[in-house]
Amino acid sequence: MVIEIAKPRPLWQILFSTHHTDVALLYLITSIVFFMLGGAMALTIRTELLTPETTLISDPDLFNRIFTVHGTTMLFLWILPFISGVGNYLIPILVKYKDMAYPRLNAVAYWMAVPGAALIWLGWSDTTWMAYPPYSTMRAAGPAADMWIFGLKILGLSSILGAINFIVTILKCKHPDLPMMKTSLLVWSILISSLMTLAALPTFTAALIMLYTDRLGVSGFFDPARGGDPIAYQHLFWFTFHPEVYIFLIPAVGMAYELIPKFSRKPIFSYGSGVIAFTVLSIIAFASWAHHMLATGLSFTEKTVFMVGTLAAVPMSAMHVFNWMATMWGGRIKFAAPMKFVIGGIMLFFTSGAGGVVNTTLPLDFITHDTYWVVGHFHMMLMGTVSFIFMGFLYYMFPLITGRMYSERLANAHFWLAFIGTAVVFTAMHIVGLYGMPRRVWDYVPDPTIIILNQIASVGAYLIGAGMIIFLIVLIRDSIKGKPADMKDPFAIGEIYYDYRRREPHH
Amino acid sequence: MGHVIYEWIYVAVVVSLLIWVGAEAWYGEKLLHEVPKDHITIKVTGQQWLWTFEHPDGKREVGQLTVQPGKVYKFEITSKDVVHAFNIPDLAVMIDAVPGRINTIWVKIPENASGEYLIQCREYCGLLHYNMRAKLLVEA
Amino acid sequence: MQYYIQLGLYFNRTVISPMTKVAAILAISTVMMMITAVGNVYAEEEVINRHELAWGLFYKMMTAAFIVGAVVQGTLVYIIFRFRERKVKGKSIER
Repeated sequence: MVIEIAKPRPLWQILFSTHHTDVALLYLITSIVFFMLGGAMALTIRTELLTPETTLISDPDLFNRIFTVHGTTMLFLWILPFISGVGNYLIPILVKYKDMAYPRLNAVAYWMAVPGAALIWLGWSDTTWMAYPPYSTMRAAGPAADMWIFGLKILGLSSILGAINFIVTILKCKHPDLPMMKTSLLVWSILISSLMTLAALPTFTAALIMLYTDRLGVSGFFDPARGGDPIAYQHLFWFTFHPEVYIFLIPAVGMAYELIPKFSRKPIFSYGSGVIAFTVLSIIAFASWAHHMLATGLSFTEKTVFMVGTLAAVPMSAMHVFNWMATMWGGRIKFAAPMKFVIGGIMLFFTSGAGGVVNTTLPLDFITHDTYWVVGHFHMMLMGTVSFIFMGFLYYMFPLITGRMYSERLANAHFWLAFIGTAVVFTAMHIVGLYGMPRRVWDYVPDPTIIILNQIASVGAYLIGAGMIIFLIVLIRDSIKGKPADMKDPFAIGEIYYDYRRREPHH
Repeated sequence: MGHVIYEWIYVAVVVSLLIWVGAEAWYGEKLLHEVPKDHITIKVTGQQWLWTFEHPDGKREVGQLTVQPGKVYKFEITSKDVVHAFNIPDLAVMIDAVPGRINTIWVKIPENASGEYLIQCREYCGLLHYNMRAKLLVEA
Repeated sequence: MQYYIQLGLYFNRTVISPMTKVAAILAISTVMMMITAVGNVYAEEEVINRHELAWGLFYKMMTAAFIVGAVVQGTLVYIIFRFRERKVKGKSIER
């Protein structure tokens, strides 16, 4: 294996290892592969939308399958495995334990994600990643939709196993001399998001079973003709997936807390408010799910309750932003690639946060719901904030993983292409949504404004694509023949780096 | 947890802003929630991939809806098969069409409106979702 | 109005913890907004134009968002330029 410079080992030793760094490496490589595949699909979608009617894909069915797999891949095969990968690498180091609590369970959780991914990618469902019934139960083509259901089922189980492992490692295997309030905020963020996974995911797991029996025709949970209700699925689905948004976001926030003090050469402004914001958010996150369903005919009271629940989550995110800026204030900031990505992420985080407040403002839902505004909004969050911080963190971990240093010049080019591209493509999407362009459409009304906005968005997407090609080049080239890094302080910021000797397995 | 007071003041500012946003939204939604007394009810049915409209006098229209300017219309929306969403972008009308449920939304057609407006489906409903459109004809 | 001025003086003269002040200001603003909103609901009579209402609210929200955004992003950009490594070189930061 090329990335092990000290003592190269055969591939099978890594594949069958249960050591936390090996499992983490597998998680990271898997997630990056799917990030690139999902990105390629996004570029296909943007190319198709360059013009109304056919541009690249002549078949709307294929288009529907592409955006379904794009969504599923990015959420469950890029973001979640990446969090598990980073957690596996760093949690044992940060809580000073020799490995994860259950090393075998850890490997099992990873290897469950593989068939899950295979089912999704071999099936190519056209249900959208939300799979709303009755479309997904009555009209969606099998076996693709069935494979999607089983794929997500397995991925969900894998997430739950991973979450249990993280919780036990942090709470039970932490070094006795290390109080919880002295651990890194990254540890807190992984702990909180794992607890949220345990609380949120079972609901969706149950909903998937109901969806499948409905598809088989043996039950009618979501079929009005048999006394069911399609809206029930949406409640179950969003009860899991609104908290899931924070399960994606909180680890990214934790990573930002790990990077910002180091690159600003200053301690965190307020550790306590970070912990408070994480904890409170994890509870409030469960009180806002129906804001995804404001157009399904909820009563006025329900709408009000969920609007308040949604707005209540905003101060927590605002506290993080304040904490980050106050940490940077008065520091001596070194703009290496990790810090650039984090700052870019914070800038886009404000945009998506403000967009979120606008979305939940009840009468505005008539304008924005299910348009490209929403697509722009959540991509701004998941690409602009979460993925940006992830990419920055990957650069930060690059010396730990490979023992080599990445090329700062290429990383800089990657950052600027990705940052400008992201800002352009998702801002254009917000605006085109205001003109009433629905999401998930293969063709749109040939209005000159809508056409030109779509083309601007596509150009932005190509910029991101160019950035990602550079990213891939950096990762592959520099892990093979980058300069060996100074493992004590690879970024020359006068901070202690993670203990690289962890990479040599103890068994 | 040093210098904590600045942070709390900042949080207080954020919370006040959010309360203002919430109050504005709640007030607007309250205004839109109650249907005016004099209205014409139109039954809207979505199915893959067309819209059917039924006027109070029993007249049915497929793929187009004729309305008069200055009048208030209440739409009773349902679906025959999968979830759709009834949307007139130019009039800010948007609500899901759910099988087994009747959702209502009302709109006053502006006095100065005339000609053709777009009606479209905004919830993914399958192969021809992109083309599930209808015309709103405003004729005096 | 007189009442509010007195309230302000009371705040300045008395020894109250800043937290209490913040909480009190919050509570007062909440009640005031609620009163306005509730009062307006029962005052309205004529049929409203939902398009105008939604877009009016949208522009109001956007104005607020852009003002807040300018402050937040402006501060961030200022921090980036003011505290970049090259500018504050040599300054030792005690930990």
